[in-house]
Amino acid sequence: MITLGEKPGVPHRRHHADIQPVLEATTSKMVAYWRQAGLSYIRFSAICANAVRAALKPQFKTEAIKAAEASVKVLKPKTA
Amino acid sequence: MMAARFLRRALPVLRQSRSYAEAASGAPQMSFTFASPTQVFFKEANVKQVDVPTLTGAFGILPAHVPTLQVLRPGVVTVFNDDGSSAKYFVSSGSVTVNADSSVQLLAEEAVPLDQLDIAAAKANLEKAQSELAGTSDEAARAEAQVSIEANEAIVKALE
Repeated sequence: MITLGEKPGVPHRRHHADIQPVLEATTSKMVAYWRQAGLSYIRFSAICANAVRAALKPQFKTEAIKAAEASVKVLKPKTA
Repeated sequence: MMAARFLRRALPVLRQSRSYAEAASGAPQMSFTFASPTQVFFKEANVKQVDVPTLTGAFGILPAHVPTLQVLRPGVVTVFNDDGSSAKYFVSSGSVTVNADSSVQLLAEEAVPLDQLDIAAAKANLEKAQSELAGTSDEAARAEAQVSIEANEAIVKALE
């Protein structure tokens, strides 16, 4: 179980997921609608994974949901 | 350099024999690894072809595919074995890496065999997500609802 920002006194470094991507006007690459709305691929992936788990047959569903929430725990520390 | 010249003079009969053994043994093999955080489906297996759904489109990977890195979208992964049989899995998201040595790593956040999915549940979730989309005006929340809609649509399409 990974917890972020738990140790008091240790400064919480901004990691890449926090930073909003800057849209440059130099290329005409198509931007995904979720990226445009401010979602990261990690968030996109989490929503898709939840959708898959929610569509499992009952006998597989509880196990999958339990396994998924055990791997990473995200805690957002209160910024004073 | 001197030694090479000496050898060439001394042993003119000894030709450097070009070995075509590599080409003759057949097409290069693909070492295929496919896993989710909870399960390994294939570990360095020799398969004939793998079809993957990516954000830039679905494509089939054969041995000697050009190296590439792609991210996955919700969709069906089809693995074709050497004996002609195929297996289908639904992946939610993740990444696929094709290396220069023809090894392929398919790492999914959630991957399940197709027969573990329930189409009725997927349809119900799709309707719920659609009503969520209609009920919100915040851009980020709308995008999240849209992602859920597309994921459920992909599940329904895979099962029909």
